[in-house]
Amino acid sequence: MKVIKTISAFGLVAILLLIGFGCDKNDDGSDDGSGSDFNRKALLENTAGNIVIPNYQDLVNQLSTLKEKTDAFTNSPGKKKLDEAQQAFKDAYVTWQHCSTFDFGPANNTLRANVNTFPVDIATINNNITTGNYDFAGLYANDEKGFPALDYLLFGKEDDQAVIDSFTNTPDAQNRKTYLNDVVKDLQDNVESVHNDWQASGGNYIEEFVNNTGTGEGSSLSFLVNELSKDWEIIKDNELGIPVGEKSIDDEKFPEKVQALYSEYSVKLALEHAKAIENIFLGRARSGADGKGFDEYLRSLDAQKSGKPLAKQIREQFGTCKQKIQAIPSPLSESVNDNESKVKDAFDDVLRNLAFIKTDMASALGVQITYQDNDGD
Amino acid sequence: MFRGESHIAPLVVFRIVFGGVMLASAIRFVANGWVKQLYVMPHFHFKYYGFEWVTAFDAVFMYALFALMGISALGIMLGLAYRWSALIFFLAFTYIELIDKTYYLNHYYFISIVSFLMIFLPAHRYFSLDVLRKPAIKITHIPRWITGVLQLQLALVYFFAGAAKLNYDWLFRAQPLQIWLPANSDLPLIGRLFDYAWVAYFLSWFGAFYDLTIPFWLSWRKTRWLAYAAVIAFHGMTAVLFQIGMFPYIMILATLIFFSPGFHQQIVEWLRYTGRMLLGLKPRVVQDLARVKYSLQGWPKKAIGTILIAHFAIQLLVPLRHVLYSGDLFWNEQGFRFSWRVMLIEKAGTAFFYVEDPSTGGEAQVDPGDHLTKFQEKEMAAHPDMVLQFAHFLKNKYKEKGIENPRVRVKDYVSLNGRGSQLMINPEVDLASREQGFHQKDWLLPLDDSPKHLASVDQDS
Repeated sequence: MKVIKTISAFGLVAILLLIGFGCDKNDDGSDDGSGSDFNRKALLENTAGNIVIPNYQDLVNQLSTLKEKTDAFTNSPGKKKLDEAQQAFKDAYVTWQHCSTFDFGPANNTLRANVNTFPVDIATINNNITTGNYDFAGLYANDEKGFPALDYLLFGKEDDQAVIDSFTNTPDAQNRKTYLNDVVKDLQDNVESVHNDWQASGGNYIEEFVNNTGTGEGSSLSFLVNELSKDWEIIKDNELGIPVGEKSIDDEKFPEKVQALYSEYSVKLALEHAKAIENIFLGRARSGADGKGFDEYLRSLDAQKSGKPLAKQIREQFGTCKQKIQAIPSPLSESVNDNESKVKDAFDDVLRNLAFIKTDMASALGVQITYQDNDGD
Repeated sequence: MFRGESHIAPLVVFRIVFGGVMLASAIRFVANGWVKQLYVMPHFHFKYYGFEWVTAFDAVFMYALFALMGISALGIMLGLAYRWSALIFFLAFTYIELIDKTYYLNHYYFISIVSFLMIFLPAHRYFSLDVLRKPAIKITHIPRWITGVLQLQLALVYFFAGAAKLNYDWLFRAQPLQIWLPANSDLPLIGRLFDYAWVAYFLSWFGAFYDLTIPFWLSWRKTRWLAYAAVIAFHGMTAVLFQIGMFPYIMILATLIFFSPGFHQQIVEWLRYTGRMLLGLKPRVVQDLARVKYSLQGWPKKAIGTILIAHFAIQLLVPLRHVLYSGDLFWNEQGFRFSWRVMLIEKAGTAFFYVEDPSTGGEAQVDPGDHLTKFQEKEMAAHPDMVLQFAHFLKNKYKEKGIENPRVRVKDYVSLNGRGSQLMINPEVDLASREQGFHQKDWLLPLDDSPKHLASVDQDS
């Protein structure tokens, strides 16, 4: 009996000791990230402060430039003004790819759909222009606006002169100008409000974000991991898979469904998108400054795969994906037919990396994706 | 454990606690919006083999079913129309669990079993509304085997849960705790400890020891209070660390059944006293005037005896059925469920399906997320039987689209307890041609458990 008592007492005392030891440990939050002791808050601070907010800030600035240029163009349409507006559009679109992942929090799972739903509905856009009757706040308006609508408005004719003509020599030229300006305005409003909500001087979501350091559903980390894989799926399906026929059982290709169809900027945008998500993984700002990211986190947990550090493998897979995307000749709408194997190669590697992110990374981090009870089986 | 007789109070307290917690669980489930999220919204449900007929119908049906479950739980708690309440609760609860195996939890299975046993126990014949209605049914003493049934069931759960922990990953890699504990390192006070590997090892070994032996410590009068403190500490800790809902509270309350009849008599008297006060009645302590024994005779005795013996025989054999299958149990999961393998594996997967039209050779890559909820998608990717079901769903879907004999393949990358992801299912096999059932699945790939897949202690630069 005495033995039994001793053993069960030992178990209990050990637990109490554990708790007591926990109290003794200095919990001042300062932590150098060495050993297995990784500070999730540092990752969140770096992500928010060096990636999310600066990227949104860039986008806000570039959208202002875009507004200037499209205003100038609609005031007096001409080749030079069109060129400038087109360039401003491309710059902002690239930067959008670096914001696309952050669809949680202030973006409220709607910003991405508001800003970049493609392909656009050309018939409805033309009808909107003719009637002058449209509501961008409407539930089904996502494929009538955003960057894809600008792509159509600024590039959607056989050549630049035809675009200029559509803004000058047609009965609905005035309406078209208004529509262009409204689309830009809607983009600006959407992005500025989200940017403002993130900032400490605005809605201050950043504070909530960096302090929500758990791993359960609803934690900042789970938002990031979930959106990271969701956004990567957009590269896989919308930017590559659907156009090249990977999603159709009769192998039908949909060149008209590529992103940035008219500006023929699809490959560049897909590449930037892959870079953007790689940057989040690495905790790297667009400027190149590297901070605490998922790679450091995985290293601190000593996550391995096939005898190699998982962080290294995912990093290599990001590299492979970028190479394969870059190898696709532009425009993508032609390559899906003329260089089908190159597009499919890229698709396969992007798919492979999705498993790395969704399975290997999420599992190693112990991130929860649902609120429901589970007992680990 | 099974001979002699004692006061009925332990059984009565168990009835009240069980009914009360079940009522709370039902309310919690509805309040969390889970009825809608888990049963009404999904287009597709993963059925248990042989229970394909169990369906969710519509929202009205599901809410009615939950209402029925809540009301019958209340009936159990109050001891009102008790046998019917227990029967209805068992049926309603089990039906809900059978709708979709995505949501399988060992503790749901536990609740089904306990409510089944409760149907046969005379838990309403003391301190209940039934006694108030029909004083003649009141009894004060029951044979020991009645509480023994509940104690044995609990002991089996703990024992099998403990035995399941005696495996390489749990004991010598401290997995999955090495993944789950650091994920909780932001907890106040104890969180920092979870970054240390030795804590994961300590808790793994302690957990196995606890599960294997706790029923014995609880049964011994001399160690009982200490053991119960350990119960509270252990389950309390799991409640803080893991997303396991009501389970810790159920176990903390259920293990009270190991306490002495005298202890439970005090609880009943306290309940009676406070109950009367709350109702505005004059508090009084009721003494049992006469000792009335529970007697079970004739065919009911034989029937209940047979049912209980069959029940426990099944309970002993079902957790062991995995020996009939080859392959790694945690990887292939043939014979994994209904075996008290709780909190044992961190498993996640991503499944990419490929549907081919054999007449043209054309092939579509299909993501399950288009048809499943996030939760279903995650659970499916880690469970071969669910992958097969989904493959059949895709087969039928494409048949409806006019494709004759579509072939369905899958690339399912799965990670188990911190091993890097590997393909779990042969990507060349046409799953549309494979049948569901209890036979050995020949399309599973073995777990490559060579050291290259295990975490090493070396850090790269």
